[in-house]
Amino acid sequence: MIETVMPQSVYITSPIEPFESSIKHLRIPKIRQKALLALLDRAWARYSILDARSVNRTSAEFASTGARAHHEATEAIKEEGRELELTRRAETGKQRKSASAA
Amino acid sequence: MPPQPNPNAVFLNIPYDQDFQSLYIAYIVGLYQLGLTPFLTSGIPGGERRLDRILALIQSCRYSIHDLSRVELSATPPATPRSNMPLELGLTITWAKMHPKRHTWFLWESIHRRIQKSMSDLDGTDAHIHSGTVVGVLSELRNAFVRDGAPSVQAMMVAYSAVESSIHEILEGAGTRNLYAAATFRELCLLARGAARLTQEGIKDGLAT
Repeated sequence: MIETVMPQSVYITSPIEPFESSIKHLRIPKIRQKALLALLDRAWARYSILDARSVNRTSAEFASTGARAHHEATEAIKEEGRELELTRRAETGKQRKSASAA
Repeated sequence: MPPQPNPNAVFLNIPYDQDFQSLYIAYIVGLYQLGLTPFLTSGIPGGERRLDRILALIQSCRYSIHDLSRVELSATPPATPRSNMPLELGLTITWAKMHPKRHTWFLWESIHRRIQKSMSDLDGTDAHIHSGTVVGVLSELRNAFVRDGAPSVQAMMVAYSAVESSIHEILEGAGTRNLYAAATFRELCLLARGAARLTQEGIKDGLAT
C-alpha cells in the first residue's frame, strides 16, 4: 500500500492571469474570439436574470420551475444561434454571387 | 530537470466519452472560475512519443485532477477496461512522490468508497465525490482549490449554463460532434475564461458572490 500524498485541499495564492494573456495560448483567430464571446454575452444576460429570479426561491420551487426555465432559455439561445448561422450563410452566399458576377 | 510548473495549471485526467460531457464542461468552467487553467491530453498526437509528452504535460502543471468515476468496461466490443486514466494517475503519483513541492494531485469519484475497491493500493486517499452531477463537480472544486474571493457555486452555475448553452455554436463551427477534440477544447476554454471574467465583474459590482 502506498502512503497517502493527496491533501484534502490547497490554498491558492498565485495571481489570476489577466484575460488577454490567458487566452493567448489558445490560438483562436480574433474574429472567432469575438463571435464566441458575443454569443457568451447574450447567454450570460439570460442566465444572470434567471439566477436573480431564483434567489428568493426555495430549493423545491427551483427544482420544479428552475429546470423548465433553464430549458426554455437554452432553447431560445439555440434558436438565436441557428438564426445567426442562417444569416451568416446568406451573407456568404451573397458575397459568392457578387464575386462570381464580377 | 523540467522547468518550474505553471502555478495555475491543472492537468485534467478524465474520460473522453459522450456521457461525461456535462461534467467535462463543469470541470473547465469551474477551474477558470477559480483562476486556474485546465490542460488535456487530447491535443497530444499519438505515436511513440505520446507518453513522453503526457509526462511533460503533467510536469508542467502544478496540480492534477484524476476522475476515476468511469473506470469501467467499454460499451463497444471487445469489452475493455479503461486503462489510460489509471496509467496517467500512476505517472503523476510517481512524479509527485519525487517532487512533492512541484505537484499536487487530487482524486475524483462519483461513488463513496468505490475507489477502495477499484484501487485498493490507494486506500487512505480520500477522493472528492461529485455524485455524477455538475453541482457536485463545482462544489468539490471549491473544496479542493481554496481561493480568496472565489465565486459561490450558484454564481458558477450561471457561468456553466451560459457556456453549456453556447456549445452547439462551437460544434457547428468545428463541424464535429466531438467536444474533446483539441480545437473544440480550446474554444470551450475561451468561453469558460470569458464567463470567469463576467463572474468577477459581477462580484465587483455586487451582483454575484
